[in-house]
Amino acid sequence: MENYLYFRKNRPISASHTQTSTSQTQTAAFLVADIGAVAGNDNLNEIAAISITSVDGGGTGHASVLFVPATITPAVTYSSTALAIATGTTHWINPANQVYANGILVIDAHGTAGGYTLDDDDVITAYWKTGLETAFMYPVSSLKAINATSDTVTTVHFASILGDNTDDVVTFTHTAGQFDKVCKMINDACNAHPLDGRMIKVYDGHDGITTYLNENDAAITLMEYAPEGGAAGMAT
Amino acid sequence: MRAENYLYFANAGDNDSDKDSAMYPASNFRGAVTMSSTTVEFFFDPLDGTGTTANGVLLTHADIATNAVDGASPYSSDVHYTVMEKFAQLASANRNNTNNFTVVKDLNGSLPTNEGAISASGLTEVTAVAITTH
Repeated sequence: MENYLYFRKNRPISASHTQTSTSQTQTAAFLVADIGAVAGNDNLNEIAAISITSVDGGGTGHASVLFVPATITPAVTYSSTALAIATGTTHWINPANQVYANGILVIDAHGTAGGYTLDDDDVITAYWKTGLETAFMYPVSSLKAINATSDTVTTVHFASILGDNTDDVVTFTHTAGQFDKVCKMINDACNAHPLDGRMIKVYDGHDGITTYLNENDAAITLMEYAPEGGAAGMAT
Repeated sequence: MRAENYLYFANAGDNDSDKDSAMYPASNFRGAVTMSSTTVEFFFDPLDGTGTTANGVLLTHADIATNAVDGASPYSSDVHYTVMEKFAQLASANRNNTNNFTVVKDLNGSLPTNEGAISASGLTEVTAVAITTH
């Protein structure tokens, strides 16, 4: 029997971006500090909700965006009728109608199937749920090493799940000089409950209430996960 | 005798087709990873010994959150965590003087007549099992 070390990236999490133009494409990616690495962050199905908040009443919504058609009788018929946007209002749009790649959303413009035409200064907020390779656990026996790659970055190496030649790596970004605290955190997780073996929550990036073993003595600000094979690479 | 748990998985088949069911020693467990908001895959040493692709058992559970288009909270549950934690409890539950046969999930609906039913059905949160071997 042994312990199992559990990690979860910052999920669920919400992140916002303020548009700097009228483009339907997000003018910059969501922040790495919120959602983790944006390169390859392409899983639209992990976005559970998207809202648009109008700062100045600009933009053009669609009448259907305010309703959930399946819950209304008679069913709402989509039309291209533009919706007057009031200053400060928030409108929810269906994530399934949008395009998402590398941390950037492309919002479907208002039209016959819903959508929202963005205006300068509109605030896009997305809500992510747990999805592909965002939560994981390893048996303690798979731990290979902990390595300080800089004074603010520590990598925890596990034997690869695929079992080829590259480790699975968990990377912690933390306050400078806290490598030893990360080591202590992992050590304490490995050696907790020596008589029975349990799953130990090492890092849990739940939205706004991130929890850590040892009360985050290392002042960790971000956790990234790079399994051998990359995103979806281990799927059988 | 090696006193460790042996972890049993079975899909809704009748144990009469390839990968209807599988059993792994707990010591062969390599790790578990969420694959989507409705699935967690548990990985074990492959059968062929080549090591480049693990055996997988993909367990399906309720969606952690459903898409919200009306302003309702998109955050729902941590059911993936529950599945992982219960797996860990089962994998580490070996005790002396037991046979250590541990059912993680058994979805068999109609077993062959010459095969006795397994008394435990396993994790209640799991609704489907898909086994991949290499």
